Amino acid sequence: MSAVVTLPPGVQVCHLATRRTVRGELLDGAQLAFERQGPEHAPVVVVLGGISAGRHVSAHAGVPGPGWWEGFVGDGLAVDTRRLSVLSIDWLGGNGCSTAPGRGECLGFVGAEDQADALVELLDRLRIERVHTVIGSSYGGMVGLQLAARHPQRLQQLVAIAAAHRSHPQASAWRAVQRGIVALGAAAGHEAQALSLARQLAMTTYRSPQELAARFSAAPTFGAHGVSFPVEGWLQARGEAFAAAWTSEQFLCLCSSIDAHLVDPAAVAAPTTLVSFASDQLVPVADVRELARALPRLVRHVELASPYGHDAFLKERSALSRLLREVLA
Amino acid sequence: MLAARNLGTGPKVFRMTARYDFRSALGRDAAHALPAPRLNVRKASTEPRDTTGFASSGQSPGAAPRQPRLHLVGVGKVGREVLARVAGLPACLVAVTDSSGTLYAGEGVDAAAVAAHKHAGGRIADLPRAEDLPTELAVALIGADVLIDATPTDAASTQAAAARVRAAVRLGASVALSGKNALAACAPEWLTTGARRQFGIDAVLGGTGRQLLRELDELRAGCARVVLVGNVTTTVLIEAIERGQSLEQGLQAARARGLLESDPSADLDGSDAATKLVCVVGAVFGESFVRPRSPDEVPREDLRELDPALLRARFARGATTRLVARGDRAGGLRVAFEEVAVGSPLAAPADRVVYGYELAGGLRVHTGLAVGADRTAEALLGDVRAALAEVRS
Repeated sequence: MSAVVTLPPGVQVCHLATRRTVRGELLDGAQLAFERQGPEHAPVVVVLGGISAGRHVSAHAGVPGPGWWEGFVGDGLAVDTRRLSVLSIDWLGGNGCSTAPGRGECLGFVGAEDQADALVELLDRLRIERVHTVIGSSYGGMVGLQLAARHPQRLQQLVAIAAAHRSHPQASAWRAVQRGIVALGAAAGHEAQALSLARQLAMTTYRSPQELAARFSAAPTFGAHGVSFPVEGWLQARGEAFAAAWTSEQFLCLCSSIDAHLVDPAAVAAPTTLVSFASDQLVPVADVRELARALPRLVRHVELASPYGHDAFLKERSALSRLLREVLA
Repeated sequence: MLAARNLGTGPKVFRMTARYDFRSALGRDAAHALPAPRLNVRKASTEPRDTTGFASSGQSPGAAPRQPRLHLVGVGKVGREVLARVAGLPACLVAVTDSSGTLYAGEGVDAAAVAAHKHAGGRIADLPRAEDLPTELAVALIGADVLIDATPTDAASTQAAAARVRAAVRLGASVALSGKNALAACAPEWLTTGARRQFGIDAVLGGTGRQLLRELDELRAGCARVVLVGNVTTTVLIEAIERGQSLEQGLQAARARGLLESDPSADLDGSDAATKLVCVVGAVFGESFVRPRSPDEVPREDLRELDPALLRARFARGATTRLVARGDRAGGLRVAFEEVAVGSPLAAPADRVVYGYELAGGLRVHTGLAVGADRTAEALLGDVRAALAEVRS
């Protein structure tokens, strides 16, 4: 593990205590990057996203550029930063400013449990005894469930969006192929192309057939280099953007973390709101229903219709905002 | 009676009554010694390393490869930790030196026996076959492939430390350093030339020295300022005071963790931090300085002069205090206790050091965990392993 990081101006970090991970591996000298916005002494809302999301959730005076959940978090929005203090982190092992494997390095296995434990250490360092709400989407929802199982006294409530108690085997299968692509590409000296391809495959699982049909049903074009299909341009753009921002080591670390996620619903002791999307291929509604049935303190399970599949947590601003305002009231 | 020429270590002429003339032994061992070390030109190679030995040594297949030779100087806390681990290295410890003399054994020193002898308060010079040679002479005579300098920090012996390192480097040996004073005096000389490939400085800089050397070209080209929290002892003391304890209680805690030298004044008066700062600015900015900087000329603050109430007030506000060393390309150097926000990379806990290098893209942060005798020894041995890998290649 590389104890080296370059921090852009203003990035905040928490030095983590030396610890054993949930798999018994030594995590030594690690740092967790975080960002906070809103009034300092306001109730704290922790916002966690997918593996591509990070500490910068939305634009604010301290960091004016766009974040990954614009339209949901900000002054006057569903997560209202006029009256709430919003905290988020860069994932250990990911492509942000938290500790991650360097070139040719292996961080060891980092589970969703370890992310949750690191977040709790950050709360200790910030002297936040108990957060008002943890809102976790996708991988962030997995981490939120682990947090509520391992440290239920540290949060008043959990909102888990597009996340279940386990990774569905179908989703694991798709991610296994992605990991194989990346590992093969890295070994063959084609890391960027492999990351792009893996991401392109992932994008087909994040969205729904309905959405892709609505957007990309135009006829293919035939040219000197063969036939190209409208959806390919979109996939290539997403793939290239991903490959420019990630290394194979980082991708493999977090991709494995997703698939190893497993939490006993009976242990999730915090009041929990679940949100699922009917078109979500990665986290089927049936899995979330199973989780809902087993949670000891389920507040509600909201099933939303959406053409956006798993990515609906990024797209369904209106429906989710209504729900979040209600939960955070 | 044998007399040694004055090598500039002082005005004395050394006379020796050698119970065991290891220089004669060196002559006898020459037939079994490795070829004289050449200047270690390290090349980046993607070729798989030949680990069979005979291809690199020129020996016939089937012959046992000759082991690289190690010379340990300094058998204090760190040195004894090195002795406890040296058996695991693909090398032969042929000499051990302390302030009293040097023990040489071409067939290999019994590291465990030497460690036990030192732990019981003995001197190297009391051991059979040992000689009370000046260390620099011993280094030159033995000509080991790797010199492990585990001598404790001591400003008074800076020139002697530098002399023995130069003696080793002139012979083409690699040097793994833990003492900071010699590096502070010689960083521009040692680290801004091709000879830097012969140096391992991980232990000097709390476990960040190897990373510094990896990035040194980039840092020399683009770093504007350096900022260090490099003295863990002061962090321990500050945390004790923040918790309402006294400075003396903090010193007891630091001593219990094995962090303190017998005289902790270098930690308390900031000179340890100043010395590390001079090491780093010498390496990163040294070429642009008209003259090398000295730790003595660095303005610094003494922990004993701090108001504990100030530290506790900061802590109550959610901040903390750290001894921060800063340096820039113009030669501005300073060591001071600064208020540090909880999310600052400088808010290092009391088990690690942080070395920051300000680049155009942000602050490059190196975090080091080589704190305490055992981890410092591990850092030293990490440099030794890297040097051995180069020797084999």
